[in-house]
Amino acid sequence: MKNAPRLLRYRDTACFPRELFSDLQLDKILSAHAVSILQKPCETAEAVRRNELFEMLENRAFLERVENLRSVLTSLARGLQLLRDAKILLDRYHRYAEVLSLYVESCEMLASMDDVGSLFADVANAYSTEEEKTSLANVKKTAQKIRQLLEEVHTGLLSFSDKCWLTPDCDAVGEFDRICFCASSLGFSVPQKKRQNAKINIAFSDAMCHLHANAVDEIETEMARLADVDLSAPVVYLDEIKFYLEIHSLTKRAQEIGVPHVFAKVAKAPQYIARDLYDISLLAKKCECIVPNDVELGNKDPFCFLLGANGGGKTTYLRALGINLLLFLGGCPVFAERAELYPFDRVFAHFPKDERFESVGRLEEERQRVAKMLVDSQNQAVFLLFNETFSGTDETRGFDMLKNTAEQIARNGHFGVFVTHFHEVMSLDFPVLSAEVDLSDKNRRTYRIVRAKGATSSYAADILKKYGLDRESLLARRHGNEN
Amino acid sequence: MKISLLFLNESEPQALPISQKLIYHLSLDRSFSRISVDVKKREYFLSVLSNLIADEDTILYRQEILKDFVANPTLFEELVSLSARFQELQAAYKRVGKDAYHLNTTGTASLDASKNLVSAQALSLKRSLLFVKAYGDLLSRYSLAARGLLGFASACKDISENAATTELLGFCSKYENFSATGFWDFKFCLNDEGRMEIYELIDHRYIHVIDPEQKKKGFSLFKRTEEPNYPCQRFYPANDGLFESFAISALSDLSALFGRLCEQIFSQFASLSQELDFYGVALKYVNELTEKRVPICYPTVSQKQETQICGLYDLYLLLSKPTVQDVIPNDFCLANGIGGLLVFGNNGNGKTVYLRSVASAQILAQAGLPIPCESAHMMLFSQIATQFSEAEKEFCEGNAAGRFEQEVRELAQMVDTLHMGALVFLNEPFQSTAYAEGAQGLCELLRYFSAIGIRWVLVSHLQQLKDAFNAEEARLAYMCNYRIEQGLNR
Repeated sequence: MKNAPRLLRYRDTACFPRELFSDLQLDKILSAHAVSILQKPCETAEAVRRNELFEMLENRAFLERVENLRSVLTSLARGLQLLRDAKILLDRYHRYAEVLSLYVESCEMLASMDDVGSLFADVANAYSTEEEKTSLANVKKTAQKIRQLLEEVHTGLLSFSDKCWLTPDCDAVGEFDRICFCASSLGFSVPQKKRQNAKINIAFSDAMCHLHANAVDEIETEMARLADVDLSAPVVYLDEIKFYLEIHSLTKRAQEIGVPHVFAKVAKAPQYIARDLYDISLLAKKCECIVPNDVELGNKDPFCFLLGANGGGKTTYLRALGINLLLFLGGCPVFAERAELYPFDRVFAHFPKDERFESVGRLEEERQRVAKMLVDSQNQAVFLLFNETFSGTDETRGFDMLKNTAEQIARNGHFGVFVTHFHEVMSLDFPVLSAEVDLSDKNRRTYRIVRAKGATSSYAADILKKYGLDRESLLARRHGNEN
Repeated sequence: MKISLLFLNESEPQALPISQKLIYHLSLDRSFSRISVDVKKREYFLSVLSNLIADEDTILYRQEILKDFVANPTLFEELVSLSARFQELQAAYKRVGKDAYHLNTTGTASLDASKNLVSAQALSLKRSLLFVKAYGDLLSRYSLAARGLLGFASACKDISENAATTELLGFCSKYENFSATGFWDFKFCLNDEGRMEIYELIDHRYIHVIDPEQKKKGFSLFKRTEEPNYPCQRFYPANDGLFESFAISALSDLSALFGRLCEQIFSQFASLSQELDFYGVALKYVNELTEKRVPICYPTVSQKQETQICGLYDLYLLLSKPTVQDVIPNDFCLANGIGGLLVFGNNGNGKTVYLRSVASAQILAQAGLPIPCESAHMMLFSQIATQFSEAEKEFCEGNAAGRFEQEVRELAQMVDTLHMGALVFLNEPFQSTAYAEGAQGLCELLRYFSAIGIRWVLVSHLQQLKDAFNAEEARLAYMCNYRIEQGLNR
């Protein structure tokens, strides 16, 4: 079908880099296919229509219909591939008959999807025109005819003696069945005949085609009649449907551990406001309890630093921000109680890379990447995520670089969060968040991110103790060795 | 349906099995080693004794069969001989089955190997069907009264006299001589995907082929009758082994079918040979007692929760003493409502022998066997247990308990495992503690048994027990010169 409406349409702007999804661990919970779709954000109007479709999928009946459609389209795609690969005549006829049936089923299903959101309604309308209906009726009739003709060539008898002969089956009863009949009348239980599923060869196929020459001629004629029909047309929706179902399934997985999802409101001015925002990438770690956090980045405080204890949830917070923003930009639900987000033009993340740089050191590589990010961000609504950038140098130098970057971001009015261990950021004119610990409970991590009130600590000693590397443990180990 | 000469129903309501230790305590192993020298048969016989039966019907079922065998010893011998040959067939079949399994699982079956398998399985089925017929013919030659043997004969006839069996034997003969020469005819069916789904052997009579070349060459002076025109097509199979593999699969289906039928026949008669071993030992036991002119009695079952045995002999003494006169028979009575029997007596007066004779009689009776006595009217128990004083257990790690503690531990286990309807025989427990304390402990234990419906017989020298029970809780008896005196004067 020419100019068929699609279930996914994208913005004309540049794609998000694949690296961004790896930094945020989104590729651990989504397939490469889904990631490739999220790399291309959509327009706000399209996002609203996608939201509508995701909402429809919450309804079990609609979900089942879309899943059935996916299953039929998958079979059609597989059938088409097998048809292309079919070298043996009988095999080709069977593949063709199968494809015709699946094509008819796919088209009928697509035409019936007019009540599953406006995106599907467009597709359904395209498949419900009089022209399409007539064409489909024709294909259906041909499919039936070919099936009937193939029935004739399904059974037969083979005789091997000095010569081999192939004859039609005249209701012959197999020896197995005859023996089973006797045994059953004596009260014995009998085994099932083995059902094979073996390919036939060209010689057999040709002999069968000769034996049933009339039927074969008719099949060829029927196939020629449909030469102009594009049997692969419905398959274009397969990948699109897979994307919707995959995101839906992610929301279900999250729901199982009590993580809610919501369709974020589209803010008119740049902001990132969310209540109980979750880092859904933790599903990849099979976490059964994810602690949510609030986010409030508006015009007044578009950018902030995040300090706090090791293992306190800083990176998780950063990922939660990034993942949910990318999902929002792809028209998907976000994992939060409530959210109002602005459709930013670009999202940049600066996470530590594996130290395999060829010509420059770690610090220089980081500096270059930050510089490029800031250049690329100019004159755009941008959201920036920094994770312990500039930590690969001495404290004074690192802090200076951080300070310069922050000032530049502030001048450009960009949004973002910068995770760092430089406690000096408390002295800068930026809001500071902190990963909270419970001092009254052996410095237990609460994974809550709160506004920092004073000096913070990284509580590295707890982790050292846990792994037997604190002072007491090492002393005890030394005494043990001495004794 | 499984043929069994030991069990009336396939899901026999069994009592709980008795322990091997009990057989040892009662010297049943020693007694029957004097009766049957064949260790395997004797062990099977003792295992049947161990699997206690508390179902009156099953006990009568066995008694009837044993009586028929006693009356028709040649029947028993012929049955044993037939069963032995049937077992040989079974063993041969198992060897073939192993080959089939190996070929099927490794996928190494060649066409010839597959044909040989079909032949072997067909032969096994044919022979097993003929065995069933032979069993039926043999049993029909005798005048029998036992339900078990009559049922066996009828089950055999149901199979052997059925027309389907004759037809089945025909198939077996056909495939027994199955060879590579001659016709190979198959029916095939493709599935909706155009793949081979079913490929099976058919009889050649279904094939109608008129070779056009032969038709052209043919010459006759006589006018031909009009031949029907059968459509057919010459087929030149590629040399890719495809149709050989289909044929192997078809043959494998057939051999699996023959195999399954064989297995069902074997499983129907599977236990027969071993069960005959039980009756073999039982016949020797009866013959031994008869030769010694010992009275034997098939006990009747009491429904009144009481046991009355008159003139009971101890089996082990009977078999080990030179003459019957060396053994003194005794009576045993456990009346309804009485919890147990306390047996006292001086050392060497036969207390333990008495206990053994009563316990052995109970086990033999519940296995459907006669017992050496004048008469027996016995109740059935769901469990039987014994506790005989023993030497101190091996000195090994983990066993820090002394003799007394060992006894206590065993009794505690008994208390854990015995339920209402059980019978316990206790032989001088708690010898290695203060008499009063031992008596006190035993008294509490026996009261517990009585309270939960466990009947008991205790042999003891703890005199304190005499006054511990009233006449309704327990009866007292005294052994004097190997004779039991019931209702001992308090």
